[in-house]
Amino acid sequence: MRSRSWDLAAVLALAAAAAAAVVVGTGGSVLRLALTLPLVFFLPGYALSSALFPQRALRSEETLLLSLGLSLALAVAGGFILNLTSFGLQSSTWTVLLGGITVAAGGGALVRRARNGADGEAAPRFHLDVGQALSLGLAVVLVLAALGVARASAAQQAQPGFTQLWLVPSGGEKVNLQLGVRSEEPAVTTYRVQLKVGDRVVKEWPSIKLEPNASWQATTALSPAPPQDATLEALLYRSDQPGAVYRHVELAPPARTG
Amino acid sequence: MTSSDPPSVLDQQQETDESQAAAPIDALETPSTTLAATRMGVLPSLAVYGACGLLLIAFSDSAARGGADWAEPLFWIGLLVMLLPTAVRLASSDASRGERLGLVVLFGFGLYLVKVLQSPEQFTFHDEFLHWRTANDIALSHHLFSSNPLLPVSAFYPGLENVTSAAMSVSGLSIFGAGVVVAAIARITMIVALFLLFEEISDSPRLAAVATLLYSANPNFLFFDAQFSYESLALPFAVITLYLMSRRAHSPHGQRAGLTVAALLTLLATATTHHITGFALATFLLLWTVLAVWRHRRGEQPLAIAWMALLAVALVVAWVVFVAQIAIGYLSPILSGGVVELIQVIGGQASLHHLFSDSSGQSSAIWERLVGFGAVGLVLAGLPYGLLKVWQCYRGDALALSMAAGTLVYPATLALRLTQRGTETSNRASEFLFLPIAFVLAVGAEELWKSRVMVWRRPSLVAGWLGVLFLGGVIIGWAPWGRLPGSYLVAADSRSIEPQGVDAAGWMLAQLGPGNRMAADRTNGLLMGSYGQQRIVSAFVDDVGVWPLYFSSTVGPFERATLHRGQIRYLVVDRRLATALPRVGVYIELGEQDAFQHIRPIPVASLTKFDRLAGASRLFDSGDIVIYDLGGVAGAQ
Repeated sequence: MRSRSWDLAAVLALAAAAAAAVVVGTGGSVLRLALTLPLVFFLPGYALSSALFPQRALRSEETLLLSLGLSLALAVAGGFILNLTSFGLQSSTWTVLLGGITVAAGGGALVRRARNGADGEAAPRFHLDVGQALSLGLAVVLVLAALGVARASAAQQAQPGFTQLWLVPSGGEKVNLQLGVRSEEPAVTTYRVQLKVGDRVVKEWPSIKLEPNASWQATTALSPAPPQDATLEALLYRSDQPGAVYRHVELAPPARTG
Repeated sequence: MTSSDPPSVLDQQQETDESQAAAPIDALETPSTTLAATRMGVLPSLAVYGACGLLLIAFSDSAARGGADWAEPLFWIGLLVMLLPTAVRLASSDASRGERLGLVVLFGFGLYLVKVLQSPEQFTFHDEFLHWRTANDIALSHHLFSSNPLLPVSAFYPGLENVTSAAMSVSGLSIFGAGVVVAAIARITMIVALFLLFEEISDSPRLAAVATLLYSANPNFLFFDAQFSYESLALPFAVITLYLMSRRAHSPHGQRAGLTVAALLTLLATATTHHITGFALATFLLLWTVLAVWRHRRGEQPLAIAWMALLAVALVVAWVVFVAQIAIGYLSPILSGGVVELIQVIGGQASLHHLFSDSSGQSSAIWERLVGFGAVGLVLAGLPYGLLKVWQCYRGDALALSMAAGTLVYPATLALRLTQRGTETSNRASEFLFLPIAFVLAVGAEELWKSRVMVWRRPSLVAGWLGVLFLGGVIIGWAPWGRLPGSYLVAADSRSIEPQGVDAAGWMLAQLGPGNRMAADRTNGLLMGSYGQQRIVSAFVDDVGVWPLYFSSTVGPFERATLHRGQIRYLVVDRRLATALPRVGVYIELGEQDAFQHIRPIPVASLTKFDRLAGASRLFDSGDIVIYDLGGVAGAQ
């Protein structure tokens, strides 16, 4: 490896690190993101463009464009290739494919550079004084602040509270019922639930206290089994409005045809 | 340009303007990393301005979520803070090439973040749910080409989802997280590709930067092409392809093979990622071929461009014929609908579409209308001069002439805006047409600036001109209620996505499993079909219009037959539909009765009729949203 092909050595090392991060990493951690996302968005394209242009004919912005653009294009094409395999598109196959492309193209680039006698590209020098560095740092801080404000305000956006009530036959039989309540009200709420067969209350849960985002579920077996033509109904009341039905669900008997 | 061209006024300027010292063609063959090329100039300071603009927009979004009236003015101020300093700097003559490129990248990426700030926690745009479904299907099945009931054609152009799948798989990100990253990388790639393409044609970094800025004034740049959608990724591929082919024409023999391979790869990616972008790229390459043959000069390679054009046509057609036949049925009504309606308008059989007014009767503010018309007027007024200058300065360059020819389509698309269905077609054409429009306008602007007329007023003229074009584009492209987040609105896409609907979709999947055939309104259909993984029945996919189920006052034989034909087991009713007219023109689906012409909301009784329907079980109730099981309804199954 020529001494000025440090870029390709770095690409190969990063590809290896990305593969390792996929194997041992946990989903979404910052370190895993930092190591693995370049394997999709940068490294394959950089390696391929290096192989295609061993004489280093690209300007730095062209290298950036082809690294990003070809990486995206290779991922598009790679999806079709993986689809042809029985393993399909999943973590291990993507890692092997993208890592393999990077290693193969990077190796090809090393060989072609050696043949072409390319002596390496001088890295672009950006002259940044202290004031400019501080300005860029301030800009980054402001953007992060903007994202923080947006996330906080989206999370705290006032939404009308609501409560879900459901009644589902378990296993398709009306004898066994799944009854549930989920509260998305803004405060702790106490409910009362009645289960009726026709006009008769067959079961009642007098006090179900739910925190916001909390659920309550019950599986109920009706004994004796309700008549085939009976309507099963569940009524939900809030403790602060005990006389008003807040939600209601029902299982109707099949309609008679003809 | 070629050596046989008439002397370009741009060339003359380059002799006196250091910033215009773009590398001549020979110099492009070797790396250029000189101090002048990488001098950052005032970029760091302008980055602070841009970030301040973003922060203002974040505060405006936050205020809008609380319903504050001052949110919208703050939004516009934020955009102007981002735009104007950058615009004035780019128009000046003393910025370096590297600074110009850096500024347009920062500006373009900043505009992408405007969309992220609006919905930082989840997807909220209509099309994003369509592609979420395809991406989720791939994540679940590990294979492509699953059936997507929300947008069937999406499954057959899975380029976006392939990249998303790769990002999700290796990083562990969610579809939303991976989608945000994919769209961000696509945006950066697009900006760099635009700059290099425009520079390749003009040899002028200043013209390239201004043209790139002008491109951002297209009505779909701020929001539509920032979303998680296949066009957002395909456009960069198409522009890279054009750039590489243009670069190839001016490159020494030793580089052409590499450029060709790279162009083939991005061409393949374009054709398999988005149908319209593939068609547009193939068409443009054909136009370029014709003009290259006509204006053949030394340095041009008509044969190479012709081969690429033929390959593009073959790829696009082959993909449609062998993989995505469904695209024909999907695109035909979209492309022809506006033209047919325009003919009907001319013949007096249809009424004119009201500009700057949505289907619920909400009209834009007067100043917005003025700026919107002003933006279109500035484009129309600038094109003739720009075209003249393109002919004078670049007539030896077939790509520049192709750009000029491309602008001629623009006035025709404006006519489509007089129709309801054509409005979207016209809007969607803008991201393609602004590629040539931006170039031609920038050529005209470059000539005007060079004339030294009103030099002392130039900054304010540039600011005003680009300000009107950019703000006008945003106004034309996106409805007022969609620019900022806020409280729930009926049938208003991003403004209709809220926790009750999202949770109902989650309940449906958890309790009843995936793949149930169901009917739903536009918004709940999106949520049930994506997060709920349900099989939404629609006229679009099944040729079974479900809107009568919601609009009729009773469930009669026709409605029962609809249930039967659609094999609809479950039905979602959102009672909020009875509270207002639909902002997007339809409650349920395109083709519904009185679509885009509703004058009163759906009666409440039409939505509650299922409570009295024999055999209908009311499984779920969250207040506004009720889910019925219609399996027991006579004649329905």
